[in-house]
Amino acid sequence: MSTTAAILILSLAGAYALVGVLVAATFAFRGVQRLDPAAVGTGWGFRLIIIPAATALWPIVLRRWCSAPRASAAPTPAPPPDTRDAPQRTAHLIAWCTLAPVGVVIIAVGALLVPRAPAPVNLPSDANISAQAPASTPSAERAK
Amino acid sequence: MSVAYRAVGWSPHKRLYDAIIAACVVAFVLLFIGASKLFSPFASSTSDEILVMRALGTCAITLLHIILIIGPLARLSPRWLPVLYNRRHLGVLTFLIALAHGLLALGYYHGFAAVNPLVSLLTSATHPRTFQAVPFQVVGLTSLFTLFMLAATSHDFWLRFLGPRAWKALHMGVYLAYAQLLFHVAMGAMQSRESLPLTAIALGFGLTLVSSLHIAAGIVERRREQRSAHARTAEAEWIDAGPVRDIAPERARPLVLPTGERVAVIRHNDRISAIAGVCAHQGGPLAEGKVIDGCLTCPWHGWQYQPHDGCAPPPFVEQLATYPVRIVAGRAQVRSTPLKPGTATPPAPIKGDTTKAEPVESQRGAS
Repeated sequence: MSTTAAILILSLAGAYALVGVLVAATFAFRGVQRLDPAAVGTGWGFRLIIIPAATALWPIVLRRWCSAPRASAAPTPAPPPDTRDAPQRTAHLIAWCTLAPVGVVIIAVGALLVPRAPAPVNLPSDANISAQAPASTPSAERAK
Repeated sequence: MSVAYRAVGWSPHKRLYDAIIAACVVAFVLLFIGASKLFSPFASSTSDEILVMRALGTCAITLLHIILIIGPLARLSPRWLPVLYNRRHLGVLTFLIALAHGLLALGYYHGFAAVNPLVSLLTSATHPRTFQAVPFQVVGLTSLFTLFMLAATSHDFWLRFLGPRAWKALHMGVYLAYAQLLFHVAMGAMQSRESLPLTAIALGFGLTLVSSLHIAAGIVERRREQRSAHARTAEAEWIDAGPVRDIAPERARPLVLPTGERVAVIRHNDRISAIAGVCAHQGGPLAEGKVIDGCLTCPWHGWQYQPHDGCAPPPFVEQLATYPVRIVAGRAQVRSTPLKPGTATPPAPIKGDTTKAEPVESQRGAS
């Protein structure tokens, strides 16, 4: 990745996070009870603990907050879950029949791509270096 | 359950759970560092900062393996359920340890560059079209972000905010985090070439363990689904739920209706009742729970529902659909049409010899 692209990506992420922190902090201490009556009367600990996820999800949080009714309602039960959902754990069988081979492939490809050690190079001995010294030297040239 | 939120719902069980895992993490890190100094052929050339970094990284991926096997283990044997209750604490701890590893690595390998450390990390692939160009550090960063999203949304507030389906779909991202970490560790070890055989063996063992447990749990679940499949009676609107004697006292039995709806047929105080079989919290299998203090209790996180009306006990407000029940010739039958959540339906009493019981129908509630 080029430096320019990396700086651009990090700048966008930083801007997103900065806006997110501002929205999340305001939401945690002012707006959360409007979306969920169970948050009424909660302490600092709860409000601080929801800030990280609210920072990451701030567009969704902001949209819901803006569209939530102003009047606080009594706690209402969440809609009951759809009992026709097949338990996701049965999907694990399918997921793991595919993911297990993927993991094996990752390890195998990595092992195949590991570069081999370079072949040893035969370096000339000191005697050979002396014998191969150049015949013409500056002193030899002056003598000529 | 849904009363005013708290930052962490501490209980004696959770405190003990967290104390044990904290002690195990500290012991793991110390053992890793000690064993590396004693037995590693590269000990003399490896700084303490690198050892701590590797110890934290190894601890994080080990914790992730434990998190991944808890679910299928709990499906295979209920003795693992206590470990399932506080799995979210384990997940948050995994993220925090991975974060510590990431910050150390970022500071050690990129903190002395002329550019921003994160820019240095993103541009660290210096050999185009070679093995060293595989960006394993960037993949590590993305896996850290995935773990962050899982940890940050683990509070019940986000479960309610996002809805059970979206929240569960998000948290299936733990498998994405696992694949990313597998890549990060495999490629990183292969590029550095240190302890390569040991890393390959450990990763292979972990992957085999996680995969085989999931596949085994999936097979067991499929067989359970087939056993709890409905059987129609002579009257189309009543579904046979099996012999009453097959339902253990103060327990429940799963039933799948022709519409695919899951029902928990409960035996409590020698009476039979039926409520929706999916917990309002995170979709847990209510039929596999016990009746405690007069309420059917979800085996996953302990949420409770009264058998006669599907309501959570006060002050909680959750409600589940109820189903009229009758007993014919010792067999429980459930009406296929559910009643509105929270509708009271007096249970059908089990009278005398269940093999000769006359049809005893629960009073029909408002439909």
